[in-house]
Amino acid sequence: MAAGNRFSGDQWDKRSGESPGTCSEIVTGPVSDWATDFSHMEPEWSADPYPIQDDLRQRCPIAHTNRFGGGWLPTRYEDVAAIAYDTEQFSSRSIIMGNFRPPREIAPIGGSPPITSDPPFHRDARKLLLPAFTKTAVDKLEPATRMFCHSLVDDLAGQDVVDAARDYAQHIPARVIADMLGFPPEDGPRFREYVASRLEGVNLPQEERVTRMSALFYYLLAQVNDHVENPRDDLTTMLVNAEMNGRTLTPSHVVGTMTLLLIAGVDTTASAIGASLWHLAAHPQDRGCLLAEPHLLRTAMEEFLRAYAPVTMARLVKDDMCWRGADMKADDWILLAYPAANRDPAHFDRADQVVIDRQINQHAAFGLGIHRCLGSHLARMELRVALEVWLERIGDFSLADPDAVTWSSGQVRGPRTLPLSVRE
Amino acid sequence: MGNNRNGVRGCLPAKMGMTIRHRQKGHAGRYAQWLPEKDLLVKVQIGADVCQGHGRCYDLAPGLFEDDDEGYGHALGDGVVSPEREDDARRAALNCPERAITLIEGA
Repeated sequence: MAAGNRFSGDQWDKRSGESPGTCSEIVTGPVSDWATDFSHMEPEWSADPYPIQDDLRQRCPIAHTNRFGGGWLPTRYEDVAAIAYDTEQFSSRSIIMGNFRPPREIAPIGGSPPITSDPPFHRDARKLLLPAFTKTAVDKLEPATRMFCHSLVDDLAGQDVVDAARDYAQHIPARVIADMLGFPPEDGPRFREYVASRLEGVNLPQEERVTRMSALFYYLLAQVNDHVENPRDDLTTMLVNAEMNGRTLTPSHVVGTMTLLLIAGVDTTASAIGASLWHLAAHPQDRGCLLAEPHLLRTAMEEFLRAYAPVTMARLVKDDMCWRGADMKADDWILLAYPAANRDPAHFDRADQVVIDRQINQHAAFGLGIHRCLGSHLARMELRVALEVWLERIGDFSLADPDAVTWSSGQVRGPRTLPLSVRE
Repeated sequence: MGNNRNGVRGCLPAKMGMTIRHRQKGHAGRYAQWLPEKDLLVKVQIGADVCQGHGRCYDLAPGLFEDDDEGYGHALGDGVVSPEREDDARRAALNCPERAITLIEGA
């Protein structure tokens, strides 16, 4: 269709004319005091952020750092929730806390609508996507997801030690989102590289980040152009043809949203699956309960989502203000640590324990307010199916070497390497 | 739009436990002529501007709640809950991350 012109090369040259945003000084190295110098990019945080968050919640519930050009870290549930709800004072113009801040003019749309959008633009951009991600819609993807999980387990046959992160968890959401977007299924591993470099490359020089992002950008552009030529029943064609207020979406909106669906849809769910398997491998009692009473998985997986919530968001302070005693400056970051909120003892009984039959669980793993994770129903389906298939096929497993487990750094936390001893 | 949330968020009745007080049918029957029929009922409501479509309600209590084309939750019918499903209604309310569900007892 004629819309193809929108995505031709000439149009994209306009990108180079965009205002460049600002870069702050890159500061790395050991944290002196988490209350005044926190960094979510340091190995201590990646390895085990919970004791740090628990300590801060008691002695400095809104911590500060001068790294990343300045930012704040609330660790109480009520503060995290209040910021999530307050889109007047906290912007989603960028949601990855690093040394780069996109220009102010990019609001209220942001680079990857609707996650980077503020009201009023946010609502319409989100509305376009909601129907494809309802529970009813994603339930239809369950049989194919289950079959894929089985095929991954088939491929592990004959091994005594398997990497449940690299050889299982990471493949599942990549394949599902590739199918939804209508990309070649074998491209899953490529997405994971793009995603990892976006999320974990926060402290790389800006030029290198741009180079890495360009690779993803041109990949997505090629996919869009292929869909323009050959429309089909998938999310990419839907976005190419979608209209907001009577107009088709701008090319940057289309590609920005596709970037979001890839980045938000791959590593997050893989992390939830991996963290759940890590817990079950390390806690034979919980594993035994789930094997004996499979119906407990419904509450257990919500508990894994609470206790090991993979996603931390970020906001930018709109204007200078004193917020609950914190002297915030315009463009300060807020590291919106839903995982910390989920372990606040003021909000959860036995907050520091994993209780797999927890009956009351108002966790915030998928965020709160208008930016509630668009893919939460998809993520829950993938997590449930991945765990069901694993428990059914490989019931008996344990950590092959606890010290060999590695965790991702940055705002999405989950095991990267998870060697498990498996027994028939 | 943070402000319009204040006061809108659903409140649960004081008794938050998962075990419900089963109404004493015999007792109510004795005073049935004084108690309007509806006094026995629990009703669920979802605050439309509070719900964000997490879907815990229709996941935990299908038949009481359903999703719409955009994933937002709605109480089915007039929201009246039969006594044997009060536990489910309460479970849904207590697991809504946005606290969007109100239980009205004796509605």
